[in-house]
Amino acid sequence: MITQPEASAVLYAGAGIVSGHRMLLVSIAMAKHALALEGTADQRLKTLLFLEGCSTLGMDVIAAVAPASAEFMAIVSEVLQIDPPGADKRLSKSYDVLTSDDVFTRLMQLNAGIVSAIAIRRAKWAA
Amino acid sequence: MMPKNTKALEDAARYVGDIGRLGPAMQALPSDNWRLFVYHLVTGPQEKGKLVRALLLAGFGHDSDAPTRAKLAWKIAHDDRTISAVSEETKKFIRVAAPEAAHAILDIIRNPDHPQRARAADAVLARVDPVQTLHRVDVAQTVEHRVSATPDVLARIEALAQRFGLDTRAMPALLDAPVIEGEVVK
Repeated sequence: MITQPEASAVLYAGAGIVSGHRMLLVSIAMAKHALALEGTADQRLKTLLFLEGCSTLGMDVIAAVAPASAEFMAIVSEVLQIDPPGADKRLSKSYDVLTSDDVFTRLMQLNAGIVSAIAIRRAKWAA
Repeated sequence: MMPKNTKALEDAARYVGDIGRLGPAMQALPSDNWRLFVYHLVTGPQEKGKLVRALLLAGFGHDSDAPTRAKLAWKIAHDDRTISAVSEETKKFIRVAAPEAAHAILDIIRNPDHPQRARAADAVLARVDPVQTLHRVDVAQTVEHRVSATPDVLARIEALAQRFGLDTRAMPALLDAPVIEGEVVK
């Protein structure tokens, strides 16, 4: 059970992070989850290339994000169902929900690595 | 780079203001600011920051900070109505710019030593008013590139994993990994 100070810290961490970065951080956690699953060389290479594509965030930021847990993945899967399959490849509705304050805060609570990644990113901006 | 002269901005405002001459997708946009956004996106320099540039020239986001501008520009640019209008305007722009482009390509064709000669000739043939003189058949085909677990691919996976501090030995075995046959020597 997360304590109130911890919840506040998580809420503060997510504040001011643009939706694009939120989505990337969620996607990185999902990609790391995918790497822990069985798959073909093609799937694994594409997942790693996706992570490489996120390297503009910084390698340390990517490294800080922990793989998505089962509960994290359950939330994301539920949200992704808002967009019917093939209806909109840009996931316009689910993108808005996943990057909303409520949902993103919950995802940060489930993946402390995202909070660390944001802290690293903030420190870089401040430097 | 933002245009320095006001004439370019006046031309843009006049263009989008003459709504009767615009195509249906441009007309369907919610406001002249949206139409200006599309206009500047299509006609402006195709360089980094083009979305925010178009946003500012369209009169949006002047009171916002940089991240908000970027987000707003992305949202407008990826709106279905904008996508349709950009497509419509791009076709017009290409049609107007065609003579100039054709001359440039013809110069290449006339120069037999130019390395891009064959490709340029192809480009000209493809652009000789296809609407009136060619039957155009669009074939939608999805080509999915898949790689196999070759030694090169496995080495690339290993290298990428190392970059991110990931240990491939901790990952499950690849489903299509080659089986190495041999005897265990104790």
